[in-house]
Amino acid sequence: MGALQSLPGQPQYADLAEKTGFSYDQIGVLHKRFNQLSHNEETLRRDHFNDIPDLACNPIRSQIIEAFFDRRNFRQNGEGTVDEIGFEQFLVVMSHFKPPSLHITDDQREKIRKEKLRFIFNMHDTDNDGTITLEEYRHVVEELLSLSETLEKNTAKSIADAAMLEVASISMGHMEPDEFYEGITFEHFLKLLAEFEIESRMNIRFLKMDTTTLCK
Amino acid sequence: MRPYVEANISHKSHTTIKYFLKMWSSVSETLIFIFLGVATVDGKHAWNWTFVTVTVVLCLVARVMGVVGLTFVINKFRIVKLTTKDQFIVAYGGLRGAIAFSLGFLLDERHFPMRGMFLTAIITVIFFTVFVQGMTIKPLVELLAVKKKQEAKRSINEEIHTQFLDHLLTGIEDICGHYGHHHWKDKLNRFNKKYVKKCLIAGERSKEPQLIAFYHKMEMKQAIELVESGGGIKLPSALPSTVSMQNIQPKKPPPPKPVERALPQLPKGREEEIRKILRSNLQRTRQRLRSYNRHTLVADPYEDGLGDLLIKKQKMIELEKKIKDMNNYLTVPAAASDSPTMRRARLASDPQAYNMKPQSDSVPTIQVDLASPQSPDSVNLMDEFRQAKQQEDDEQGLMMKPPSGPNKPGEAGEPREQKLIRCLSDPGPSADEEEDEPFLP
Repeated sequence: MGALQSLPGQPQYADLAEKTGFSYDQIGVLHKRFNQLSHNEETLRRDHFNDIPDLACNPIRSQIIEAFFDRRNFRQNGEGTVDEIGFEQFLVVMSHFKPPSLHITDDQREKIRKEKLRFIFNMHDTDNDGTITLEEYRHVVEELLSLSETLEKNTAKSIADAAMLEVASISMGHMEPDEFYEGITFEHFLKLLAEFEIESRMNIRFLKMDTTTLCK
Repeated sequence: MRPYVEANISHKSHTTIKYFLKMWSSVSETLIFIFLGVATVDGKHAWNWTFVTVTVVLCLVARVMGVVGLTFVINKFRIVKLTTKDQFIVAYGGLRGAIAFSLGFLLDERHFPMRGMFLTAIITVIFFTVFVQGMTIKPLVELLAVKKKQEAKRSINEEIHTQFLDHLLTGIEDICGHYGHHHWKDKLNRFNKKYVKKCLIAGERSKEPQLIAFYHKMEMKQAIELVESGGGIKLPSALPSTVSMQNIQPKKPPPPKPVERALPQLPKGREEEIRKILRSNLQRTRQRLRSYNRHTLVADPYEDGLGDLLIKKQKMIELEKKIKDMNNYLTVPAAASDSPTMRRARLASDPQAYNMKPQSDSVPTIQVDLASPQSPDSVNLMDEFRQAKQQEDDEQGLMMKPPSGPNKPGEAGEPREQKLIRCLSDPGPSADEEEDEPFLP
């Protein structure tokens, strides 16, 4: 990492490293990126994210950006959103994507799984009520399909309906015809994606970043 | 090239090609193994202990070295590393077969005088790997508890989340400024979609996103399953549950003003008033009955000999209901799940709708009309509810709840509507004590 000459204040990194689990090098790289994105200001705002050119063709970019400003992802049991974030919160959100280390116990693995699934759950549950309703899920599917030009409203709706039906069947088993399935709670979500192996899929290799080729 | 070919041909052609090629490859493999067997029994062998044993040993060693060396290299780039157990199974699974034999057989006797020895060695190696390794690998796998490949039964939720995760990780990589796997994968996908697919795939299917293609496949599979089971009463679905579309239909939109929806206990006089309103409303809506189908026109159930007809009709209706429930998958061209026909079928299929309470005999005529062909009226009210976005006042009156406990604000629309049907079928003021009547579940 020749590009990193002087890391500003190693002791403050120690604090962050302990909180988020990143190594000093990784924190250094991310700090550089943070400064690049925020044009050397102290905090990052939503329009800074909008400057990233590659992000523009991502169908779920608004949800990703929102996830950075969502207090629930700051691991402090807060709720609601903020308008700007500092480096620490940036790091905390990024730490959700850290790969799990090789030798961890099953309990820790379970904990990591839950954290990552919680992150995705928060992204789906936009109104912070703890459940993903049919409307929210439909919105998710619509966003995913929004890149295709031939989208019909009904298609997204029926896919979301079918998916919701499946969740309901898996979680509730038998329901009377007049019962109503309120929405996917976090437990149902866990059950649904139990076989998804998210702890090995939702990872980014942080250390391999080459800061000289950072875009913009 | 496979996705491009598959997308261009019809389902039937795809099946034909697939099975034809399978058959052909099967036949070829059989032929060569027959040949091998004949050569073993009948060929001229030149047995040389040293050569044969050294060959067998070296084959095994070479395999292990290859596997270990290569895994060492790729483990540097993997997050989920290949463990020793994995490597052992990969090395152990190195079976030799037809190709080695054919190559040996093709050697020319004149140029290779030791051909016979080669062939003998090859045949020995083949027999050793196939019989010894091949037969013992299965118990070994179970003994070592190796993680097996998941049955590729992907649910639509997993598909949605796979795509979601891909986009998410690409986005995060872009935010980090890191040109990682996902970035390049995404770039390749976009290039694929924009240029390659347009050239190679004919017609409309070039624009079909992957999720929809997956969805179509699932629909087809379900439809085929249903047809194969003969449309039987037992649905061969993987999700044995009684959850149906109506359980997840969204609640009615909340009223514009945040009024407390729980109506308190009503005094008797007020109840009578409300019931009058109910009746008058029903008379009005009955005139709005737009179209009939044979499910909603029910003959007078008190006629003799109607029991059988009713049962048959009920079975048919249930079947149609189940088929229409399957429509939650077959709705991509048109959203049929909300069609009035289906709703009527769903409600009309309720078996208890046909069970008459004995007390209804003593009730004034107008109530009997309510109770027996209950489906068209109640359903039309359902239609009204679904289509009417604003709540009219008399519909507010219809929101009367049987006085059986506090109504949770924001209770789901469905139970309210079902309880409403119960109200409608109230034979009269005596219903106060009888609201637990399971007229409808």
